Amino acid sequence: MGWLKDLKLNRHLGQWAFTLQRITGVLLAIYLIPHILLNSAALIGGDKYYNDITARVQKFHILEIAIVVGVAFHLFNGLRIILIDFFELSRYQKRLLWGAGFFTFLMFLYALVVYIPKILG
Amino acid sequence: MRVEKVGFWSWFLQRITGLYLVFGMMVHLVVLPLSGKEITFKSVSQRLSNIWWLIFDISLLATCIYHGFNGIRSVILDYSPSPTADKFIEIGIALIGFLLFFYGIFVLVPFYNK
Repeated sequence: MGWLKDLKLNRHLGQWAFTLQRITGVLLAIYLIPHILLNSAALIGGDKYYNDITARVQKFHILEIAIVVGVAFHLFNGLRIILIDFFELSRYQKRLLWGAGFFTFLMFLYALVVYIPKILG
Repeated sequence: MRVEKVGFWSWFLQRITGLYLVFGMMVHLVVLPLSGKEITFKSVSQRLSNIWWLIFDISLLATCIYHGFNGIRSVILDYSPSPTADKFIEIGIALIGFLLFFYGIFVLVPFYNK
């Protein structure tokens, strides 16, 4: 696999960010398909069906924490890539990466605050 | 070095939709959960009867599918097997994307003023 070789040859934080961006991106794009299909089916089904489906899905709140963290990393690292591309900030790429990591961590704390009460309750 | 197969518009639109998704996902993941409303059929259909929420949801659907599927496409093209396979893969991905998008529209639009 090319990306594994890249990771081996370039042992920099930036290569890890690139790899993680790809992995989170692919996983989220795959997640998008059942997310849209399931919610659509639930909305078509009407009141009882919707509440039934959402109640079942709510058992997976731990996975939702992972999804929020995945989205957050992809979002903030993506913002970093856009800033670097559009404003020629590659000199600051490392500092921007720490910033993206910091905001991802904040979103992780946020996800804990939102979902842990739901998991316990 | 790998040959760059992903063109300018793919690169540019990926960044534009990405910027919109920064806003969209923040609403989707932070504003809505913190609004304190429980997610039920009633609350969702109430929200979707508002034209602005409907437009927001449709725009999120469109940008999400474009961004996600174009992303998958660029990853595949980066490690692509052959030009013929690339074309099949691209058409397949576009087809699934459009189907998902129109299915979503078909589900969301009837909620307007229902």
